[in-house]
Amino acid sequence: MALAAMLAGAVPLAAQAPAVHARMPYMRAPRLHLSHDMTRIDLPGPDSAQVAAFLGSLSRSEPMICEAALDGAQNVWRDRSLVGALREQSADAPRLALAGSLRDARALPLLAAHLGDANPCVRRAAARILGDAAMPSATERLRVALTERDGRVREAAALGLGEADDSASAPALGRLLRDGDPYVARMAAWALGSMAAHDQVPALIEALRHPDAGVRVNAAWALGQMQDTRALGPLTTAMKDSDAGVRRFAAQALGQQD
Amino acid sequence: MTAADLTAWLLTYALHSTVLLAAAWLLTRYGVVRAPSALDLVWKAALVGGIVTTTLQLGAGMRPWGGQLALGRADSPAASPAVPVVATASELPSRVRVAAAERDAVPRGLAAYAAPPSQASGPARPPILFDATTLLLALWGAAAATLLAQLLVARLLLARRLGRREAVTDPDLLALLDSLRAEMAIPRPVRITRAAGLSSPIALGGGEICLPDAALTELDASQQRSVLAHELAHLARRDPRWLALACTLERVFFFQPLNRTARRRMQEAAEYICDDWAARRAGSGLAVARSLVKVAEWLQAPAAVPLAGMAESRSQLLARVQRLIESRPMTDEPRRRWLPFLLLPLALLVAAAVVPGVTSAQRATPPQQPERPARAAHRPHAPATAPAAPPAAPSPPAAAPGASGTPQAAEPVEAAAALAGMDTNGVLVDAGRMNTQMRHAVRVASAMQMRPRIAAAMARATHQLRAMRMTLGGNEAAMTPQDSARRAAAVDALIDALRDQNADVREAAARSLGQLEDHRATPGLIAAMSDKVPDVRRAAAEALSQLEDKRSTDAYIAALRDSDVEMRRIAVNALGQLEDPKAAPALAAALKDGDSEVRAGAASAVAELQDPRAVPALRELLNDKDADVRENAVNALSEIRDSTALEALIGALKSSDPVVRRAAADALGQRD
Repeated sequence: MALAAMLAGAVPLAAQAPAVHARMPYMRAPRLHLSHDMTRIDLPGPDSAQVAAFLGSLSRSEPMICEAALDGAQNVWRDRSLVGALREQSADAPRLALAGSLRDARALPLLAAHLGDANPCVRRAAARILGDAAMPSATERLRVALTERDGRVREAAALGLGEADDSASAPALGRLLRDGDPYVARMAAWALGSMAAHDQVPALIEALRHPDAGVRVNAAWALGQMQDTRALGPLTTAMKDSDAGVRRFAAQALGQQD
Repeated sequence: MTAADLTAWLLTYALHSTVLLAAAWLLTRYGVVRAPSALDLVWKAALVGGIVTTTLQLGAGMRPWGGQLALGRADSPAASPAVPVVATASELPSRVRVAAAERDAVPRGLAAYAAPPSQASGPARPPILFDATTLLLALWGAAAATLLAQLLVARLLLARRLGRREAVTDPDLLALLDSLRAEMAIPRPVRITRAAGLSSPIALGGGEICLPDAALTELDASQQRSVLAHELAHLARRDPRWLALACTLERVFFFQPLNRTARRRMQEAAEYICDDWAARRAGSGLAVARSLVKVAEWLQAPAAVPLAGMAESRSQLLARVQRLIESRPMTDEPRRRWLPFLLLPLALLVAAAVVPGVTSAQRATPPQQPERPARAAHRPHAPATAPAAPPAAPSPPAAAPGASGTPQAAEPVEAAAALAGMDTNGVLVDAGRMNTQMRHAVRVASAMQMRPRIAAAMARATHQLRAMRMTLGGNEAAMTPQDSARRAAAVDALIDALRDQNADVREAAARSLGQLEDHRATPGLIAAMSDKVPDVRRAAAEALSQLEDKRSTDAYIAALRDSDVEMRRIAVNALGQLEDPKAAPALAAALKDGDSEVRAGAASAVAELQDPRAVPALRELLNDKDADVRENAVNALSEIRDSTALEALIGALKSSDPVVRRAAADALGQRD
């Protein structure tokens, strides 16, 4: 899925638009750079102490640096000032924490607790580490977190499940498309697209009429990830959306329907 | 059998095989023989026929109607002892000369004929050991042995590569194989194995089908069925054995270049026939075509340099897919026709009786053939009956092998494949066969720095393949009318979106229209090529190039003058694909563009148009500072069949760039 997302150019992730992608407000790199499937096998993965240190250092970071640390090493390592800032603040913690999939079960409670952290960057970091973990129990925790009262936790859980390509949670994510919190609905749409959950196409089509533009954008993008003729008509309608982002991703999705 | 006998045999073979192979070539060239099965038969006969007729003629001591040359050794010590005498007219005894003159008057006569050795020469002299005949033979033996050793090594390498294959145990596949064998009435047991390093299925001589791993996982049932049917057909027809034989003959009789052509044509015919078999088994050609395309995809590994092979439009894979798609489903089993099998031996017999040969002079005078009086009556002065002077031996100086019908110059890529020795392994690799070769070719070619051209070919091939897959998909997907109505509405909405106020929307719409390949989008995309936002312009230009619509020529011609380098690059490449002669002047101007990529693209585009007016500019590009430009320029010159281009190529032989020199030499070699 990550591959499909990369092929598509980028993944809109309406949730927290960082300043770095000024021109593409809904864009976000698909995955942590270091948490590819390849590394999942070879690297030992962080232990609970490293995870704790990483989350701690993230929470102390400037938002910008935190985003950069999360958004993939490319950005971080290219920008020398950012590298320097990271070094100063937290030494090698980010790299260590993200190299390889989590195998240390002791880190699970900590991560689950951070799904509701006040810092959005930390929430996402926790969700991604859980989503990338090589343990069924981590996915299980994310599924449970989908029903959490705090909208921020649900949002983070949806992100983690999207990262994990956990198609078993597709129906639950489909229900989240009607969540009262638009940020949760956006993330649910993204997650469904990233796992190409074909059974949720009707729900995504319905989300194309969501009052929140961010939800519509992510739904259009998600429909572009799966080639389903049912989506042709609704996407064509979405080309008349008042929001340019929706029109744009609807147009892109229509091109992927052949 | 003496050295002279062998030499005579070889020379006769050279003559006979040339005649037979040329005849086969003519038969196929002018469409007398069209059906693959007939082609197969004709080429096989031509390949083996030379040996049969030669042996027949010399072994049975036949005297061909076309005459016979004697491989004379000088009988008198005074005459030069070594050379197999090529008698000049002055050396010929007058009687023979007269006879020759008379003979020339006979319209159908061939220049040479036998001169049986004089009985008067007494007891045969011991053959001189190191005369030219022996030397020639030794040379031939050494060359043949080397080539055979090469073949052997290639086969051993292949065997090693396939060494780690393992038997397939998948019960479904084995059941499929059994049912196919029953349907096709193949009594022999056939093994299926899998090998990891393989990129396409192959049939091996010993009743074995070797599949790449991907064939087990990525093909659906009907595709597996057609792949297996195809390979079984190869086994049933004993194609691997035939190919091995052909490869051996090709090397032993290396002096007969037509053997190579025969082998290739034979292989082609075999693939077509096996495709037909597979198509019958699969019910339609579509499934087979689909599996071919699938196999071709495996060869398309992203990192490696793949499938340049399918480059040329003539490339067999494309032709095969086309043929399978277009031909109506064949329902009837091929009938065994007996007529050709009766006709063939007859034809060979006639050939043996007619085509002139070479005999060794030491040979005893062959007995008078009983069936010859008629001929004698025709030609009362037939010198064969006259007591001839001893060393009368106007032998055709070893010109015979290369004498006539040199095979068409091979495509450079094919030549590279030959260099790579890939076609020597004697294994019939089907769908991918061409491509395995080509993959090697590309490797070799890149070593020879022929890349840009191959890259262009690859691009073209990929495009064709995609188009083909779309045809196949279109045939299969069974789009409901409702769907196509929706699709049309979507295209309309996207065309409208090309005028959206938001540039991102316009760009996305343009890209999508390129992917949907709907020609209604052409005017809108042409308009979008003058959008005020550069990204939109580029997206539109790229999308438009995917539509390959002649209406876009003008827009691209205009884009050649765009200040944006990227636009100019897209435009030259698009014009190269469009092959619209209208663009020739603009492309000629683009040959002088400031950007080297544009110049290189323009050179390949000009090559597609084959416009002689571009020659002066191309000639200048031979000294361009960019290597790709130089190479594309010399390649373009070799495409343009024109005397000025020829001159430029000759000039390029002196280039300081070895790539240019080589390409120029290759190109010149391919002209007559």
